[in-house]
Order: sequence, then structure tokens, then C-alpha cells
Amino acid sequence: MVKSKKLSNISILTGIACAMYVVESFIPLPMPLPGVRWGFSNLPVLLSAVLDYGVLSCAMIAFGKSFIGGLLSGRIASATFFMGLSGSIASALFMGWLKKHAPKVGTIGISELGALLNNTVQILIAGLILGNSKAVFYYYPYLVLIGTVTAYLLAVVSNIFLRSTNHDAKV
Amino acid sequence: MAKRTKKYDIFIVAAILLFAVIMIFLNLLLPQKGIIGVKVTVDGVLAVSITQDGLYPVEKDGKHLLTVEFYQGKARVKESTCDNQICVKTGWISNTNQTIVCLPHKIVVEPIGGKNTDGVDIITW
Repeated sequence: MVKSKKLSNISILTGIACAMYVVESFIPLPMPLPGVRWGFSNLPVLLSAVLDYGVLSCAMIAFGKSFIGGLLSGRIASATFFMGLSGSIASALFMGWLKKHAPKVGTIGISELGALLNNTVQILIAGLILGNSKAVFYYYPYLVLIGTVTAYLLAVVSNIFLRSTNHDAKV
Repeated sequence: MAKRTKKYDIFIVAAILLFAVIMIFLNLLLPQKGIIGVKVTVDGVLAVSITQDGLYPVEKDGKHLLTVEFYQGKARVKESTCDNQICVKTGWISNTNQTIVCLPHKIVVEPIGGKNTDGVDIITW
């Protein structure tokens, strides 16, 4: 793929991710969990991983959406921001790595594992911020359950996107 | 066309779900003792230790952050000045495995001890 085309695609994905980041902060969770976001804004990251754009591209999109989205939604330097930033980047790196080194794992697997890592890192950072890890571990399994559902939805959307744009060729 | 859902996917999803369910199970199986008090920590530092029924405002640097209510062995955050109000929405906690967390204020409301004092607080292996 031509380098400039890849760059513009990454930019578009980052823009979409920022918009989703702001919107998903308005959607309430089914149960009160501190500092947690839905994770829909990881769709562009997942797409970039599945499209073989590379680990660095995924990390850039993750960082871009957390930073710019945080600026737009006015929650920069808050607990939610740091949790989201760390979780997204860790998840993005892992998903990019998975796509390259574990070809036996399909889209759903990459998405689920990315979500799991995202939630785990978020909980760890929340524990660090509070100075008390026992409290947040109570929420961890519920977070993982929600993340599993979200990850599945994102994987389905990714697959539909890939199928309709015939992106099977090496890009 | 390359198949996108590969066979490891189902194992991965099943493993993750199992992991979460086991954790919830363990949480529920732990001995649930009625709480005799709660301690409130702000930013890791103990602010107030509560064993009597009543309303306890929590402040830092002169700013009122939230109010903890303790009533007949249950505790809750009655009101809070944080923006997402998750601590208030958590409602009442009544056993030693639960906690209330206010992330914007970095406040944790944790139960102290239990009715049977010969119980263990943490099991590690």
C-alpha cells in the first residue's frame, strides 16, 4: 500500500476513534463502575490491527484517540483519562502483535484479548491511583464481562467492514 | 477469501468468560460478614474510621468532597461533589467483600472487620 494512503487511512481512523471516544463517555454503564468506559472507541484500533497496519499504527491511533478525545471531552489528567490511555495503548500494542505473530487467532480472538488486556490495565492503574487495589478488584470480573460483549460486537462490525470492502488482499 | 473467525477464537472467548465467572463466584463465596465499621481513605490516607451510625462529611483542604452514611451495619455515600456520581449510585454496602470507590476524589470506603472476629480477611496461596 502506498505510504501516503496508509497514513491518510490511519488519520481517518484516528478521527473516527476520537469522535467515538467523546460519544461513548455519554452512554451510561449498566452498573456503577468507577472510571470505566465502554470501549467502542477501540473499533478503529481493531480495524487497524486486522488490516495489518502494524503495531505502531495501532498504538498511534490509541494514543491519538485518548489524548484528543480527552482534550475534547475536557477530562484530561483525570483518573478516567489515565486509565483509558494506558489501557488503550497496551491493548493496541497487543492486538497489533497478535495479528502479526499469531495468525491462528481470528478477529474475534484479537478483539477479546485486546479488551481483556484493556480492562486489566485499567484496573491496575485505578488501583495505583487510589493507593488501594483490593477495592477495585471487586469490579474487575464485571468489567471483563462487559468487555467481552463489547469486544464481540466490535469484531462483528470489523468483519462486516472487511467483507464489504474486500480487504483480503495484502495491504 | 480467508476465513476470519478461526478455531482458537471460541476457546479464547470461553476462557475469558470462565475467568470472569470464576472471579465473581469466588467473590460471592467468600464469607460474607456483616460489617462493624468502615474506614474512609482519601488518596490512600485514612480520613475517618466509622463505627457509629450517622452522617460523616469528608473534606480535603477545606473542600467538602462527599458524605458517608453509616446506619445499622450498612454504609453508603449519601452525596458527593464528583461529576460522575458513581459512588452515590453504588448505594449501600453490607458485607466485607464490597467497597465504594469515588475515583475523581480518590476516596475509598472500605469495611473494617466482621461480626465473627475469628474470620480471615485475605487468603493467599
